Amino acid sequence: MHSFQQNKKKTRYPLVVVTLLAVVVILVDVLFGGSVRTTARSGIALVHVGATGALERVSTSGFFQTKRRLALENTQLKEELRALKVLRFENDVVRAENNVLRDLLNVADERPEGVTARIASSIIASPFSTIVVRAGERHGVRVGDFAIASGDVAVGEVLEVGDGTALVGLFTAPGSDTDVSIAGALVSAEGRGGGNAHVQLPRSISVAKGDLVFVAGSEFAFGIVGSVEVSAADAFQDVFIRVPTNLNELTFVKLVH
Amino acid sequence: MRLFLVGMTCAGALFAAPWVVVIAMVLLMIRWRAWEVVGIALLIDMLYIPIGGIFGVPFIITPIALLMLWGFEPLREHWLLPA
Repeated sequence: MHSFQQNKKKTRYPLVVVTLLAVVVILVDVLFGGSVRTTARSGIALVHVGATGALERVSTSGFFQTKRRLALENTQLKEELRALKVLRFENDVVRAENNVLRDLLNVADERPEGVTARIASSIIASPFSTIVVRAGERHGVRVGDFAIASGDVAVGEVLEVGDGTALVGLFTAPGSDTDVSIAGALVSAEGRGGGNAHVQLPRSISVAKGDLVFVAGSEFAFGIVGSVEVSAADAFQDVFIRVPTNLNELTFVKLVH
Repeated sequence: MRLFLVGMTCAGALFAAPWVVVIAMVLLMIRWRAWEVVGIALLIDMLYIPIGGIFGVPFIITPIALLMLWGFEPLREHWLLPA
């Protein structure tokens, strides 16, 4: 019996050591203002970027692709290119028109400066809707900077800055509140996860599917209205917003002040 | 099998959906005294949670992993084969 108990203690030994180590790491990190996690994050970001690069190289090497699949992909890409050319043309027209209107209204063209950063963690894997980006204090990134995806869509804001990395919290994280401007009204949008958010507006405010939603006090888009639900008995309407960018496919964001 | 699950959990923490990681971690903790889970939980917490914490809590996954790891100990001792 005595030897059985001793044996049990021995097999639990690694567990006890790891528990104590974890407690020490947690205490050191909390006491030193997150120094452990900032260092760990830089290391993990490097590993992630390396692993992603290796995976990309393997997948684009064509080693695992059949000839038929490549031909199919080629056709799809050609179609995509054609569609993009049309969109580019439309974009040029709208830009030119916009410039003329800006000149007429005498609007100063002040684009905020920023730094483009590679995303160094997976959005899918993040349980708290946060992402690590490879730009930090030495690149001029500050807490509160907006993370901008293509099309001037603000997808999040910088929560924490390390030397070479920063942590970005997505606006659509479940439970997060962001001040937005929708149909001229300033309201708080509640994140629902997966690039979706929800807003409650008085019924008197006219909102329709496809309307643009902006981050309050900025020129950046927050998303577009995906659907509006109005019940006859309710004084409010439920507005569901979605981000027009596929967040899971983001590889770069621009961080602007 | 244990090594495979540990590898899968590590890779999952960086690339896969959180539910994949949760399932792998629970499987590891039920079957073995998988101290590796604590390391992976620390990694997830430090990678994804800001210094100020989520709702003020700086570590979420690690305390849960520790509680489960010790909580499953009687179950492992009574029902499972020794690791």
